[in-house]
Amino acid sequence: MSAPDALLRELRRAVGDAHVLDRPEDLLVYELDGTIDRSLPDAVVFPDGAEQTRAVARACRAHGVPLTPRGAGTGLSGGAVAARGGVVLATARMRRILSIDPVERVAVVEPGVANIELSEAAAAHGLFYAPDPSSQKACTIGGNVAENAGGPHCLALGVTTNHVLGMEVVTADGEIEWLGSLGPEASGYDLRGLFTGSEGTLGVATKIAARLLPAPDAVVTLLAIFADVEAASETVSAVIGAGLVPAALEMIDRVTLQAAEAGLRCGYPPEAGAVLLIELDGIAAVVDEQARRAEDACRAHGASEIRRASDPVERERLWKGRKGAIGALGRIAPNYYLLDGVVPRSRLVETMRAVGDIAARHEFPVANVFHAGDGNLHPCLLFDEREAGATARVLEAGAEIMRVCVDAGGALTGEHGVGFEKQRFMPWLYGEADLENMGRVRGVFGNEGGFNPCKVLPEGTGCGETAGHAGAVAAAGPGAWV
Amino acid sequence: MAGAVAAAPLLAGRAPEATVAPASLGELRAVVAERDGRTLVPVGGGTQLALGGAPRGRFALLDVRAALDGEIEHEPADLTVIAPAGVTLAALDARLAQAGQRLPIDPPRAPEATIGGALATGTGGPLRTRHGPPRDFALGMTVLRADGELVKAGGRVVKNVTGYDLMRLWCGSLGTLGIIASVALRALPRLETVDLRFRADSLVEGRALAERFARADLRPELFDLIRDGDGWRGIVRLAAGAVAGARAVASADLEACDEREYLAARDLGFGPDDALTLRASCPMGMIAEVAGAFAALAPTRMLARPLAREARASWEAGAAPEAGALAETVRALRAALAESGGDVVAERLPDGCRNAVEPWGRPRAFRRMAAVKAAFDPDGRLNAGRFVGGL
Repeated sequence: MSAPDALLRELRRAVGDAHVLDRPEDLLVYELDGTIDRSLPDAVVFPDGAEQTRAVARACRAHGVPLTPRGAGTGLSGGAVAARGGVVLATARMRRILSIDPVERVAVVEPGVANIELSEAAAAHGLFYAPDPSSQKACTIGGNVAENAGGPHCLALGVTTNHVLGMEVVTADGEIEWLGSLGPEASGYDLRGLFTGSEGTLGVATKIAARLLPAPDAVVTLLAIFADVEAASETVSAVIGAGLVPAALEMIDRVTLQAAEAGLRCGYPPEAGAVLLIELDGIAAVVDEQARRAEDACRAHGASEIRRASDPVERERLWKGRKGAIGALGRIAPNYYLLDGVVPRSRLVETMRAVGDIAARHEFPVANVFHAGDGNLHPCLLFDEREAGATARVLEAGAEIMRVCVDAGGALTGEHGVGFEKQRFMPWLYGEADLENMGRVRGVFGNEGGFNPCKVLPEGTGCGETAGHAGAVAAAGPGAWV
Repeated sequence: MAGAVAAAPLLAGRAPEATVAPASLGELRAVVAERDGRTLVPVGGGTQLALGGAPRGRFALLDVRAALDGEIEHEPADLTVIAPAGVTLAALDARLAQAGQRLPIDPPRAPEATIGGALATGTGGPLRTRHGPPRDFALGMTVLRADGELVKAGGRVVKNVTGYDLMRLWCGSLGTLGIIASVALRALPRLETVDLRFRADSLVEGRALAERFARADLRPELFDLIRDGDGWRGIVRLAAGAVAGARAVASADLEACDEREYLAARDLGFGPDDALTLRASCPMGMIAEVAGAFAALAPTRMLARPLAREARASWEAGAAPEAGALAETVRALRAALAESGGDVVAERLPDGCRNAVEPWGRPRAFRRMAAVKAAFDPDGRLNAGRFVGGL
């Protein structure tokens, strides 16, 4: 589908000539997000606020041209891909921090503000914004709201929906509305909660009120080294079983460790088979005691070494291998297929074993670096897409892994979203009546199919081509995140 | 407990035609699917029957406790629990306690409330200060829709973005979109805590102390300020390890106390003699202004929960203000709170005030809320008339 000239004229009138792209060479960058599901849009527009966004939404609707919102394009489920072409609405010009109220601890920001920019602005007031996706230097708050993004520090504090108080949105049917509040509990249905994580299928947020938290009094990071993933997984259960809810509880497996060591020189011993990163925060006296209990659990499950850091520079060193892990995997293979399944914590050991078996059967190396504390796995199947049939095989292996997660009582996605990539697997979790019931929320926001098509729910026709093509296959390297 | 329903209470002054108590989920489905033109008012523990407007038309109470009873499946290692919606919070707590865990949902009269009812009304309690609203604990739900279809969303893992978050739509919807049949919840480890009380010269001073506790990262489980006679007093619950830190930043004496202070704060406004109860959701910075407006109407008791951004006032029968004055106060507060998205909810209204005061405010995006109701209960069979704007 191409955008009719009349629509392009209307878009230019709405946002200004300089803020509409439609030359093929300019559009190329917008054909994909953090995955390689691709589909070329016909135009990209950059509105500067709610009014322009509404004008764009109304124009596309009037012309029957699909509209797909887009933040920084770091998403990992194809959510920002213009599945049926049409217009991409990029939030890049809406990037002001409008206010920070240090007394109410509320920030109001535009959707294109990068996650890290909000954190840095909050830090000036002794506050922080909790959700911290690994892509936080690039990903936007608007995209985080759309995907209900998580991050390593979501174990104790929850994901985006726990930290977003309200938002101004332009709905799929072209209205400007406020959902939620600036802090107090709003009366009526929680449309804020419904909108958060709706993956840009109900509308696009143009202002977001975010909850900020007082910075922790003390933070202790532990890095514990184990001989294998099973010992580390059992330690995860033991830590949770000891009544601790750490701020973060992350696992890195041997394949990842070796790549990280070669690329980043994190100081991991060569015999390390798995590493746990455990972060505890709170007032110093309590944190110290909790750290000792966590260390005890690690030792009881065979940790060969435990490193402890409580100042920011030291802590950053311990986190280095975790944060740069996926990029370092580029040393092993040029591409990876990253999964986001969740399992009950008690099924971690057997699921990890099953993931290893599936990867071995399909002859792909698999790297695991993930949020062990909440059972959110991120197996990365490593491959070379130039090899004949490799992409198809990796997708098959990925589907098998997702199936294992679902069969263990888990879910398809813990934080990346269903997006374009996983919609066809939704029937594994939900019956027809459940999916039809979910679909009704689109009608509530006036989405008759043209607003961000082919996302979240399985759609029969017109989406198959690209979805079958690749799934969340991406090139590893700098700027690759989990 | 069954007596609460057997007595067939009036709802906003109106009497139900009947009370129906199906014995199984199958029977409940049949009752809901039967289109007999009556509005159905789902009832759990019956602790919040005074909430909201009068049911529209002929209506029956639908006691769901027997139909939605059954096994509680607790997975301690996963910190998750799946419960049929008709079990009481007391039963759920007893089960979780066996494994040293808990669910920090404590609405007024919590032990009698059912988990389904607590989530449907969405009313939190003192523990909201640390743990947020009840909806933050719902991982997945099965809901009986008005047409008798059972539908689910979410799952039973602690982190999950698979599909639309209908749990948040269902929580706080007062059963107007469906009857919660079962729910998967996130549990927490039990914590060794200490309750401390203190005197505050004013609400402003009490609020300042809450702020110091928050800024010192003491993470109070609850922080409530109560006025039920002369002057304000406060109660704070802290992890045992945080008490020394609290004493260091407190300006007042902190004195250890038993659970009674907590219970008084939790149930304030929901006693047998309370005729009028108002709850304001407001920015922390406006809580003194809100309490001042309440105070001008001489309430029997007041509560401020600054870190959870809410305040409550209650009047015992005979002490309730004149309807016109009440209506004016509610109107002015709603106007003052509108910009922040806050509101005033009349949780209990005496008959004499019913025509003067809408129990709910008119939230932003109301038209969209009406569209939600139309999408899931087009004939308006469930709790019609009781929720925001008569939905």
